[in-house]
Amino acid sequence: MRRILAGTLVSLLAATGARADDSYAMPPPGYTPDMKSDEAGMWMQVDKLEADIKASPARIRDEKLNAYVQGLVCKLAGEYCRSIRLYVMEVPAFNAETLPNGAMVVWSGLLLRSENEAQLAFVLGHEITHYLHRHSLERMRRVVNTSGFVAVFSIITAGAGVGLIGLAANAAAVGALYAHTRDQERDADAGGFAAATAYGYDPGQAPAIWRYVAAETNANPHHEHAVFFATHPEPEERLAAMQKEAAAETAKRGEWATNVDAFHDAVEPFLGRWVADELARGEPLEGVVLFERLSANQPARGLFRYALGESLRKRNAKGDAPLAAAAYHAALDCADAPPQAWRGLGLLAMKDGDKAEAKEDFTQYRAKAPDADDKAMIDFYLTQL
Amino acid sequence: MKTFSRISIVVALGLLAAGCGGVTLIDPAKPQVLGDMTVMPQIRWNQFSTDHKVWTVNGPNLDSLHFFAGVKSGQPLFTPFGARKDQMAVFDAKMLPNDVQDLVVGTLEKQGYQNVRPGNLAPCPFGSATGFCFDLAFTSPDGLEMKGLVTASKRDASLDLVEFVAPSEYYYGELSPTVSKVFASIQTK
Repeated sequence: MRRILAGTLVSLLAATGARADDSYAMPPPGYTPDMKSDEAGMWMQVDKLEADIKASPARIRDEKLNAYVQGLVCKLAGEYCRSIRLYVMEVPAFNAETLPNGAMVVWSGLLLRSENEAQLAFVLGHEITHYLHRHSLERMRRVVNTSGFVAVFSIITAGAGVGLIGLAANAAAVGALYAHTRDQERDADAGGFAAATAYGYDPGQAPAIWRYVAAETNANPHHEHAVFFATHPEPEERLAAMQKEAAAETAKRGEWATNVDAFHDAVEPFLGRWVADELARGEPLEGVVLFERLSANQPARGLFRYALGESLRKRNAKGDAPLAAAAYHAALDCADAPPQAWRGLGLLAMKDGDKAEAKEDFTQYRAKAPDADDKAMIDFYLTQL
Repeated sequence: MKTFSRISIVVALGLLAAGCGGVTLIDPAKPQVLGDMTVMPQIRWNQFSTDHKVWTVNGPNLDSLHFFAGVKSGQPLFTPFGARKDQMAVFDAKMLPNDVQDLVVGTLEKQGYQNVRPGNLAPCPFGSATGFCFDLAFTSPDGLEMKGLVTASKRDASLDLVEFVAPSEYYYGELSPTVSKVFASIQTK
């Protein structure tokens, strides 16, 4: 284990041989910047942001989930584990970010979108590398040199003091500061890849998670909520490089781990809520891509098939109604069938003018979910059929 | 009353500073016409317009009552500052109350609110017609826990919808009984 830890740190810190300037490598754990430095000013701003994140009602405080993700962070960060403070937040978009002061924010949208521990490990390793190589500091100094102090200060404070969700809303502004350069992204990809594969995580899972998220983003012409890609540019080029590297690495040994069971065990209690968050986000174009993938990955999980039905019904493109109905029916064939799948079928039938079918579906919904909070509305529909 | 007037002046100045021009005081005893809806205000509100009428007592970040009158098929409820119209979900005349609830939730999310949870969707009187109503719980961009009440009616392929939102601490509880009376006072042509 000690050898792996040492190997991980060496990988994280040295996988970036292509870096132009190694003066940004994070000093030993426990480091705090000189109070007179520009870095201290940056830390002061993100300290305020961290205070908001810490107190946010969106923070998920569940001990078991936090211990699981923190364990993974510690595995990948080695002795820097104690410098990184983890905050798991209930925010449905895909994102993870390590602030310059060591506050690491993981959004539930990342956990919902990961299929296994290996995929999560590659993303966390990527973010840890950004932190250990102080990419934000490097970036800030570059902006100062080109835009001046006032611009940088206003960009930092656009995110500070308005909470995590404010940060998301201001992602475009904050992204102007935190958007990493192409070299920094390559560096973080390499560092995350080296750290995760040192622990035997399946190299193929690295390009897989990035490919999935890119597919979701590409399905939405507005890209409004693609917060992660506001700060992580050039995904296509990086994806191609990562796939090539993963293929070469995979060939080096016979067995690789995904730790899918441990991952499912950790996230299982939250899936219903995170799926509801994703559906409430109002981005059915992305939801269809996401839930098609998750349904294919876990065919026996009715929750994802139901969510696919909801996304298709809400997307409401030509031909979506029968696809939504098929997804709802597939959900109802699963052991964990959400009763709301009957409601979805009833709404489709009612709009289609099929009163008998709608009546049957709503009756089933009322029977399966007698305490549903929309029961009065469903009963009203039934009087109209 | 003098204190109330002072508060109103402060709120009005705040709204002006926030770029909400044309703030007017609403007479609590005078029926107000909003599209095809007529309502009794019950109390004195400050009114301003964005692309719809908004009433507030303490300022829009602390309480706001939004009137979306006569929304036509293909139109969003409204387009929040910083968003483009083509990014917004739109009303469709074929929508059922469950779909309108989704439309409200999606619109709030586009405003930067998070984890919007609707509940208790039920038929409700809307003037002389049967409309529907539901409540909301969500988190503001500043991390405040918020609550909301919505009442709506679809007729002649258009939507009339009134939405009240406020922080759950104090302001929602303080104003929601009045808002319920405003909802109950709705008359339609």
